[in-house]
Amino acid sequence: MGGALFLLMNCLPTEAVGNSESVPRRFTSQAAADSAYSDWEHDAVGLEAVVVTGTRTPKTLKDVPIQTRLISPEDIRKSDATNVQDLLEQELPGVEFSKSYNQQTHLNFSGFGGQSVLFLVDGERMAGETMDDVDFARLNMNSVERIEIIKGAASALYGSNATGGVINLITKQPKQKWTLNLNGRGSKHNERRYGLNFGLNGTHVRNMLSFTGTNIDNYSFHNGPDQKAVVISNFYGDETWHVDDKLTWSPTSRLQITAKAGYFFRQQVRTVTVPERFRDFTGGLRGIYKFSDSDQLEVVYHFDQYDKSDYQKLSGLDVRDYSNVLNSVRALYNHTFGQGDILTVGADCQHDYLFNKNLQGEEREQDSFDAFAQYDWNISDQWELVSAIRYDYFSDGSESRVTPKLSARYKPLADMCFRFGYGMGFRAPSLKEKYYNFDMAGIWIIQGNAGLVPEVSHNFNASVEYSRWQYNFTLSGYYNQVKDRLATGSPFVDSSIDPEHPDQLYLSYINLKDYRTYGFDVSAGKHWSNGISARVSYAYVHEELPTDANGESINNQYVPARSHSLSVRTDWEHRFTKHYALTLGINGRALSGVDNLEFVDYRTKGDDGKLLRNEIHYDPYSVWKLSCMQQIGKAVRITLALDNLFNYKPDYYYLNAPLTDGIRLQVGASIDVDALFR
Amino acid sequence: MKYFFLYSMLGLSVWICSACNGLFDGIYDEGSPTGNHSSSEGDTVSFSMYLDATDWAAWYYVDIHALRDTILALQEDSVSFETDQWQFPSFPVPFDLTSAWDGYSYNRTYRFRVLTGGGLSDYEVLDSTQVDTQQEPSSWDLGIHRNNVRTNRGSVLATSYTSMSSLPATSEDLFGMMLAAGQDTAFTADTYNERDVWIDNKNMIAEKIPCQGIEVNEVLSTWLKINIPPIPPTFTHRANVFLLRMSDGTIAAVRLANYLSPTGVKCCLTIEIKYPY
Repeated sequence: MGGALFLLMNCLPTEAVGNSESVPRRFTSQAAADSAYSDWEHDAVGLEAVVVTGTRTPKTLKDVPIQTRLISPEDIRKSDATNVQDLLEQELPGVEFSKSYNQQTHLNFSGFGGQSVLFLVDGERMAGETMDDVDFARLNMNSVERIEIIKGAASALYGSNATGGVINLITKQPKQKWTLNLNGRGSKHNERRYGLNFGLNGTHVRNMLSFTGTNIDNYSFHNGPDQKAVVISNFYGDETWHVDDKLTWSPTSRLQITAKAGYFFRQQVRTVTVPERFRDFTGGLRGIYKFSDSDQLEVVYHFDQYDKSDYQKLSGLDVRDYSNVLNSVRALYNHTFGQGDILTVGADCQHDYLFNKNLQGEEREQDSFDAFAQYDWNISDQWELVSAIRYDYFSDGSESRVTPKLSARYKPLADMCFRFGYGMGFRAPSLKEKYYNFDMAGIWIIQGNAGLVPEVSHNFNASVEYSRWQYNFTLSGYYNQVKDRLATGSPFVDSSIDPEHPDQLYLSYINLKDYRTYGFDVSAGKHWSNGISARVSYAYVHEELPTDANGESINNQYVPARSHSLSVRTDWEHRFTKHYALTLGINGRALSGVDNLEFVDYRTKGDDGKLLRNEIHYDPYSVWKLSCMQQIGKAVRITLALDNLFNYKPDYYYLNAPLTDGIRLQVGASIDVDALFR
Repeated sequence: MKYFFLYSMLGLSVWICSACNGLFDGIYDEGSPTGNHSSSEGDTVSFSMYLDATDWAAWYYVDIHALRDTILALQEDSVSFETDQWQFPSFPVPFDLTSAWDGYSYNRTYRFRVLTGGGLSDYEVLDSTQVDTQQEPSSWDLGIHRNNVRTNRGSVLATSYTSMSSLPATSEDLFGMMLAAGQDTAFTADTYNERDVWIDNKNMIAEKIPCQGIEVNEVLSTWLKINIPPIPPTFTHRANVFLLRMSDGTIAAVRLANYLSPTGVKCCLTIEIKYPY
């Protein structure tokens, strides 16, 4: 329980400041911190961990009424993942990343694209997008402590974009008086990763500084003959730098103030003389004041600016062509009633500024406002009911929306938990989707559509979880009805727009016809006392391919969800001596094949007068990783891994093929400098 | 403590107002227009000229002899020189035949299997059209179409030098050094080319590119190569100094210093020339 308490106290998004006795103890007692870590280690299936994303209030994983998938610090450590893409692909079935046309990363999350899954960092939204996905390279794992994942609509708590789910990355906090970790990893194609985490933890002040640098070079793929659609011939790597600092001040037991600042830089070289640069500046201030044991107010200001520029090496000019700036202020108030019920009310204001040279007028901005309320009703030891409702208003187009959510937990036995829920999700059309005007390399002109209405999803879900004797079984199912999905439609020709180019193709953002996704997940995990642990997860996803209002299939350049996927992770940990421990692990994923209609060349028309497409078959594939982690003394950890162990390479790198060119050896080292002095 | 909270909120409000549309503008460049520059030393002039050669269907012509004369004559009036003299005549690429055919001017549309086959060397001719002769001014030395360059009965030699300032004092000195190093000093004349002068990009994604059949200098045209795939194409810049031997036997040193406009538009050329060299 100590571990749960410890983690509860460190949940920043809705961080609960403890009472006057417990908080100073938390900051001053090294023993308490060590105990918390120890408890975490012994909570083999992790159900005592505290999560916050599902209800915006801290709850243990086994009791939270909204099914939440937690990727723990231990999971992250064992995965040795560099960024969120590496991690989610290893940990979750039903998740696949692919590359968009200009080689930015796109997500398919159980039938929802990246634009319909809300990514949060410490509960805050991210600015910027490319091809409608956030820049996943920003989400590096060096600074992340854990990840909480909610599948299904959650707009009643989080507003727009939480149509298909919420993925909340919670960053590290210092656990000891001081900590310093240095780490690095190398692999082929000059893949390098450097990391530093420096933490200080005083009586009233604690600070965590994180730094990460990565690099991977460009490299080429070999494709087979007689390609049926456009293939990818080159992988464009990148170089990233990421620094974050989080300073927390607790002047009294009732008040906690956290300041954050971060800088991110990424450079991708598709043209040697004109590298593309991506920068992000983030900052914020969070104040939590606890009026009493049952009343708490949180006020947050968050700033996030994501820029893109082209660096002209020949002239030395760095010219910006995109900037998205989010300024948001939120107030969140919790009141806990005597019987354990919790009332949560809150409101956000956000200013969204977009500069894009391919935008009509180049600059657009809008303000949004929302208010929400949630009541968490602890009916009995068996039953808990959470209901929430939210109102959102967007100034551009004066759009407003009300979204409800209802979730229930039923525990007939101490080891068994049922969860049911209904949630509405929505995604308001972005400024880009309304006002874009971009000639995409002569292929077509992408047009915004000011008449778009919000995409709405209705999510029904149910799950059962059984945990006993270090076993954990979970079965969950979901059904999503999606109305007015926002996407680009079918390319069309309209000679009236530009009579000088009557054959010019256009691609407009539209609201699509209703469609459905549904599926289920099965997961089983076990931790044995001999050091072996294993988790097997299977996901089935049915994604109906969306069409436009006329039933025409759309420009779906991204791979639809693969129906079957399996994730396996097993490892064996053994301490041979006081100074040497070994962890051997193998994890992998296997995915079924999928077919996708893809344009042959974006111009050739078939007999029906429409652009010719070929059905591309993507073969089933599996990728496995064998890793060996050696702990030498208290401080040094050496990791050797063979990724893509069975040397899988697609015959054709069509747009949605996994961009792997075979087996790769990874060599990494990590040093906990503070441990050398303990 | 309540005042601290209040002041924090007030400070926050001020920050929010100032940060609404972003911060850190100073780390970026605005991309101001590129000027033209010239200098002279005795009879030799050195200049940097900016040419917007983005038009897919036009050739631009540079008269190096006339520019030298103008620079020497107007060097005391550089403002007038920079504003008035850098307009280079352009002539459209012919797409039709309006008079008697010259016997060699074609426009051909190729299908380059750049996305679905072997690349630019894997092609077929989809159609071929006889067109008028490419028009040109009465006097010129360099003809420029995007990344393509031709000469007026001249020839070109590539050097290993990558800046004008590092060149030996004269072309004779340079030839001497190249011969001593065993390097080839042969100049290459223009040759008829059917597939490198791309005159429209509208069907590029369909692998169909109309090309003008015309003489170009294949050595000098290496200063900027355009390759597909991928689409958009990649640009490979060769920053070396080239020696251009003109029809009167005089030599100019030429170098493509940049191919981007200040706002990043490709095929806006900054060309450095030293003449006579």
